[in-house]
Amino acid sequence: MYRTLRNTHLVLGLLSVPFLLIYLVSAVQMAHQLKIDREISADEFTMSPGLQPRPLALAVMERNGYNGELGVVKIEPEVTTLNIISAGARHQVFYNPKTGKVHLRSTTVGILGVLNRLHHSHGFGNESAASRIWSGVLACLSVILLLLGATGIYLWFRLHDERVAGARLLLFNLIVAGTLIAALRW
Amino acid sequence: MTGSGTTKLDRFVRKVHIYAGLLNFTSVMICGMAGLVVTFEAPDIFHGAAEKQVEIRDFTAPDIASDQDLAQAIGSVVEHANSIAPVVKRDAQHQLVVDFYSVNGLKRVTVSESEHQLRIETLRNSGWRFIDNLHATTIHEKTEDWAIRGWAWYMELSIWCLIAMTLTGIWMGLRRRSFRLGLVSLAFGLAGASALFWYLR
Repeated sequence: MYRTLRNTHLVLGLLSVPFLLIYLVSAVQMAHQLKIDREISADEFTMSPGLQPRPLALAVMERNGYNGELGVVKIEPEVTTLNIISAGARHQVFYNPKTGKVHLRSTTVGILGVLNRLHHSHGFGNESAASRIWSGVLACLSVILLLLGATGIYLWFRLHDERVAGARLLLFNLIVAGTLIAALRW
Repeated sequence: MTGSGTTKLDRFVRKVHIYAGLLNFTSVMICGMAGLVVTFEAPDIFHGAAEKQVEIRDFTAPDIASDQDLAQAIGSVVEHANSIAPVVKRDAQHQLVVDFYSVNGLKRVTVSESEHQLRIETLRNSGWRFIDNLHATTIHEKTEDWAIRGWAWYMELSIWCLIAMTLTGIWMGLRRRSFRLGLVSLAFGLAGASALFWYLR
């Protein structure tokens, strides 16, 4: 039993390390409001006139090699505006349906920005397969965290020489966290 | 990490891993649950399943107060435990709306200056979304509330404890070179994360 749980803890822990680091580094960025580098660029080109928003978005993504999904669309007589959003970039497309002219404004973020977006990406309602896969990863990672916690408690308890000091730390944690949670909820 | 190959450094690293884990246990559980809450999109206060209470209270706004000053004055008469700094805006009818967000949900106060009244809507979220909000509380929240500050600092400690546990965990895993499955898991995780990161950026 001990060996099995120890190996389970080890395997799950090592498997999840890269994903945990993504969430932890982005947590540090958010907690300390570390600056996210942004680069803005613009481009202009012409596409077929009279395109509807979804075919337009697909055509722009194919032309420029973008990943991501279509955000909110705004249609006005002279211009259709839409956003193509990925973890690392936001491409604003301003399209004149009469002439087919496109003005593209792209904002790309640095690695901290990508990590921040990945941290907030969740739910299986996204259009892109990669986003849904990431949501699956998050679900698995969440279960792994719970399993790591539970197996970790067992593994610690089996170490006789760490029981006393460990019990003090665990008790301190439970009392402080429990008190704060109770004060916040009720 | 047992046996004759275990060095003093190995034992120290293991101690750090264990102690950080025990100190951090509650937040590990909360982060795990929060991930499931957002993945399966538990209802929040704006999408159903929120208890809503409405109360009307008499209130006369001071004539010379700015919107921010008025929000502060409202904050002193309306109970808004554990909330962060109020968000002040105007609605479509140009009435002042003051939102007090907390880990428990939202208290929205709409000021009817002509009728000298406050409309106080309390939207309390579910336990699941409370857990999600707990995990998202950081030390940059602008609040003097002791419970929020205490929890925010606990989460700050937890972030660094989790980083320490991750790094010490890698050390301990790599030190067990005879356990191939561990190394394969690490390699698989690295490959998967890199591929997804590259495709999603």
